[in-house]
Amino acid sequence: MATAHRPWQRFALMGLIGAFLAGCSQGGSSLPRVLRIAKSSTDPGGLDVEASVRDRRVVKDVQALLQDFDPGLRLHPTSYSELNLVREIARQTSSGLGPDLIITNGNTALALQAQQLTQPVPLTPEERSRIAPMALQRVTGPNGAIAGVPIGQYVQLACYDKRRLPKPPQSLKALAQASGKGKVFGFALHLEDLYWTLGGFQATPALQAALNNEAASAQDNSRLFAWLNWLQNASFQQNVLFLSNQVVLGEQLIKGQLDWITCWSSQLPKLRGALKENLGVTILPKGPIGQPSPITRLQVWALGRNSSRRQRSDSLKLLGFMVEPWTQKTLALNYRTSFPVNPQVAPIVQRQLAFERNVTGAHLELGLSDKPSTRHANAVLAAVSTNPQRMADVNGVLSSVVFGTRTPKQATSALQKTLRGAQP
Amino acid sequence: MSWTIPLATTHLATIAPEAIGEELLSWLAYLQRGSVLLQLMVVIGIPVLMRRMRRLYPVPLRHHPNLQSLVGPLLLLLIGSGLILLQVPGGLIRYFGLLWLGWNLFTPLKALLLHFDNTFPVEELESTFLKPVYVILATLSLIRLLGSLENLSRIPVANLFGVELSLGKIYTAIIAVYIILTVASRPAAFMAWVSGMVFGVKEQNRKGLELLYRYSVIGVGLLAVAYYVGINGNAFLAIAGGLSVGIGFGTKEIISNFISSIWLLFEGSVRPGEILMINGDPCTVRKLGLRATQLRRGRDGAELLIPNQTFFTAEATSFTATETSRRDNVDVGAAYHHDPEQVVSVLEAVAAEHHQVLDYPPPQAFVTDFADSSVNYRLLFWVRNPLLAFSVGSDLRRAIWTRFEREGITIPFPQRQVYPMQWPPAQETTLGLTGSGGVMPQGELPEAPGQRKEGSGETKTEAE
Repeated sequence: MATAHRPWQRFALMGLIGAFLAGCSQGGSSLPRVLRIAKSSTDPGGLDVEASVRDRRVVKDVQALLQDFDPGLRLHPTSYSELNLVREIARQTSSGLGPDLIITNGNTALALQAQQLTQPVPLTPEERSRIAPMALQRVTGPNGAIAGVPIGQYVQLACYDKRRLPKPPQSLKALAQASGKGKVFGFALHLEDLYWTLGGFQATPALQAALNNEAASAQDNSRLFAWLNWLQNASFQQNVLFLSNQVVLGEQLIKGQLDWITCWSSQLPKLRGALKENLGVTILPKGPIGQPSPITRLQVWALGRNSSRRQRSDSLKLLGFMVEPWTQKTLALNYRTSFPVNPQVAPIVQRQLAFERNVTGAHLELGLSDKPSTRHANAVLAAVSTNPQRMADVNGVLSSVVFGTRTPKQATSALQKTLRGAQP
Repeated sequence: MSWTIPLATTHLATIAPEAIGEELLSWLAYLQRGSVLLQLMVVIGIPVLMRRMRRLYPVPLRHHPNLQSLVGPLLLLLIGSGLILLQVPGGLIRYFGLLWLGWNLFTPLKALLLHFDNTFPVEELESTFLKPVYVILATLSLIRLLGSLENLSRIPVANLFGVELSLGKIYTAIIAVYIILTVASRPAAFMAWVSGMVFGVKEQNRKGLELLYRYSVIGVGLLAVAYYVGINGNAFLAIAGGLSVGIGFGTKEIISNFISSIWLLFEGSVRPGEILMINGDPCTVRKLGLRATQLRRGRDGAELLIPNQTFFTAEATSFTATETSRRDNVDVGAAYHHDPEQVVSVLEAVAAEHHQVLDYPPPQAFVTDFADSSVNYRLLFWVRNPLLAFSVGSDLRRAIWTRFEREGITIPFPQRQVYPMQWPPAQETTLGLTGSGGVMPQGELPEAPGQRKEGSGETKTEAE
């Protein structure tokens, strides 16, 4: 008897499973509304547990803010290191298990868009008006599609330990003198992290020309040479260290092995937590012939490809909520790590943070405003970051200068070749 | 929501599984996606279909179950890869296809290994290493595919003695402990072998040494895992404090047995391979466990499990504590009329001829008694392995019988002669054998009064 019934039991079981799966897709209202969010680490380098926990808390805070606006929507964040993000998203997307939203920086958002791992964001004119045009331009792909919605921007600053370095250097010359007196300075050996030093030598036009495949003027070439020469001389100093990334720099400042480092505003909570009132934050030092040219790192929210219709609609609502002036101001002032992208809110937050950091608003504006130097920086970095091979080549040239295997003159031409798209 | 296990006034452990709950809840979000549901239907449907279609396989496949088992996984792989090529999500199908293929490959791989070397312990390797490793890797890769590996491995879910524990740490610790427990015997055996080679440790002692090394490797491994997890010295003190109360009550016997096992190993009195007398039976020590010692009784092959503390507190006879030789004896009687010198030399010669009787100390025969019907002798001999004494004794008895037969030496049996007696006894009725004076011969019993059988004159002989 049992054997005779078995085929029917199988059919019944399959029918039940089919009905359950069909029910899941049709009656989605019975399932919890959860948006899965993949977040890359804010700081370049590896992923540390503390940062993961902090990122998770920030997303959960956003969920709490969201409850008045859209009750019942849950946000589920997962953190990845910036290096692994694209690979992980590709793997998940090919299985239909990709996240609904991806929080990353502008360049990675463009890279994800180029590999068709994200969906272009359709923005209404009203939503566009809530985002600074420069920020929007930085996430617009070659075909005009918007790779993600910029939500905030992190600035590059100088962080130091007040106990060991009472007076931070205001210029690269002062920095060299202080290092001669035993103060230890740290830089990250990465184009994005060193970009601010180009401004002090006015060397960006040479890079821009190379990127445009144009010949640079003799003056621009000599300025690029001067910058690379400074880089090599600095690396030969005993008390100036070039480390692999910003996260390592932060850790060494906390341990007391470094007295002064370049830092991103996203690193401030960790540094503040460790050094407390001994942490000094100031602007980056100027160069021999110009002001520093710091850039900003955007925080961009991009749309995943695998979302259901309902998840997509929830994601778009959330993106609209994130650029609302109230949300922008609340988040910026709550965490004090990023600047808002909403042009209405930005001046308020800027004034508040400038006051707290004992600098003028103009200083903090560096890298935020729509100036030619910032536009150059964005173009150069976007061109380098979205092309992994070019990124590796550029960083290879910088390493060879720092370790003395190339002379500044050789490095000048190698860097220009790389930006033109040829092998250095 | 979190649960706390309080110990006195301090908090021993806190468990906060809400992060795991949230992760599981977020997986439900995938079920709202058509592409995921379609893939799940294929993943469930293909195996069911393959079972039903088995009869329709082409003839070459029908006789090869190993090949049949690869059809389903390969079909899934093909469908999954095809969908991905068409830019449609098919990774889930491909993943389950690969997983299924890997699992089904165990059987052909086993057959292949046995084909090359049929002594290879393939079943043991499969059950203790390959399949557990496969399951671990499959779980991890599935969690990774679901996008939850980073969260589950990093987000703290419990607090033990003030140490934040993530699921990743707990998972890694469990795997590490499993590996340490299953693999520890290999380095321990190697170290024991090296010790044997370098310091000339005897084979029997090596087994004890190996066990000691194994416990050391496990101990060090567990400590390393604890330090990896982040439990520091203070936490160990707390554990020791907590356990000391437990040891006083519930776990006294367990700890006592464990400590006894360590002590016995150090002392070297009960080691694997030793031969002990348990209730008069020689038993071989098979395994010295943490709680009990496993012995094999020579008499009937029964496995005995004796708590270690028994050896620690009670008397035990060992034949292998310092040397393995055992002395045994064979008793035999010979008729009175044989010269004891001749019998003794015959007995010693018989023993000396047996190949398992040791030359030194030499076998010796002694006259032990002038018994009722025979002169008794005892042959003492030594054997190398105590368990052989019984069979060697049997061999010697057979050889003695044969040699006595050849040499004309008789093994007498007790004889009893019964004579009728008169009451009151007549003066002339005396027993010639024992002389006059009415002295009863040795071993002869008088008839009970009133049971005399007059004129019977019969002689009864009793044989033992």
